[in-house]
Amino acid sequence: MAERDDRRLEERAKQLYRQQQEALDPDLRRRLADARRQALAAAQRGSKPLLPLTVLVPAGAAAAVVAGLVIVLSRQPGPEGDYTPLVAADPPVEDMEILLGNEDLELLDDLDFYLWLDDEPEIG
Amino acid sequence: MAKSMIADADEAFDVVQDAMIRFAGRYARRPESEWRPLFFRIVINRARDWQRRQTVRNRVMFWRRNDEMPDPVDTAPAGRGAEPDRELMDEEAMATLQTAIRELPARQQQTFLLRCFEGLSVEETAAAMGCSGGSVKTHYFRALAALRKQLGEHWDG
Repeated sequence: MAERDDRRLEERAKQLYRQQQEALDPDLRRRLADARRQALAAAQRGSKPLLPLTVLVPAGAAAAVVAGLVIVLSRQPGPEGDYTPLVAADPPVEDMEILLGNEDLELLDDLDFYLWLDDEPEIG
Repeated sequence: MAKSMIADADEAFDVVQDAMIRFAGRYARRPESEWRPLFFRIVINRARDWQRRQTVRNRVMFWRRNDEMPDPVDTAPAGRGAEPDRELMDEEAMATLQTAIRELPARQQQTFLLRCFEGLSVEETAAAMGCSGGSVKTHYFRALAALRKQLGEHWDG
C-alpha cells in the first residue's frame, strides 16, 4: 500500500516538475544556452588541449531542469536536521567581515559577483 | 507561484551559470560518468553559498529596499492558457509539493530532488551528495514517507 502510494507520489511529482521546466521563460532558456557557451569558452581558454564540445552537453541539458532545483534549494531555511555540508562551511567570521567592512554600501549591490570573483582567481 | 518563480529565476540563473563555469573549468577531464553527479554537486553547493550570502545581505540591506518595492501590477502573473483550471490546479499542487520539500531535512530534500526530479541513479546521487548508496536509499525512503504524510491522500491533482 505504502509502496503504491510512493509510486503515485513520485509520478505526480515528476509530472509537475516536467511541466514546470517546460514552462520556463524562453529568454531564460536562451540565457542558459549563452552561459553554457561562455563556460565552454572560459574552459577552453584556461586549459590545453581544447575542451571537446560535447563536454557541456549533459550540463547544458540539465541546466534548465536545474533551475527549478535551485529555486527550491535557494528558498529553503538554513541547514538543520541531518544535513551534512558537502563542503566545509566557511567560518562565521566571513559574515562579520561583510558586515563590518569599510567598503561603500554600493559594493553590496554586487556582493555576489565580488565574492564569486574572489573564489575564482583562475578564471577571467 | 509564477511571480515568485520569475523573481527567483535570475538568482537561480547566476547559480547555474557559476556552476557551469566551475564544472567546465575544473572537471571536464573527469570521466563522463561523473559529469552529472559532479555538476549537481556543484549546483547544490553554490545554492547553499548563495543562500548563506543572501541571508547576510538581507540583514544589511533590508532598509535600503523600502523605497524599491515593485508595483504589484507590474509584477502580476501573466494570463493563463487554454486550460486555466488545470494549470491552476497543477501550480497549486507544485507549490504545495515545494513547500513540503523545503520542510524536509536537507539530506532528504537533496535526495528527493536528485532522485525523483533529476532522475539520478542511487550511485549518481551518492556521488553528488558525497555519501553511500545505502544512505541515499534511507534518505529517499524517509523523504517519500514524510512527503506522503505531509501532503495527505488528496494531493495528486
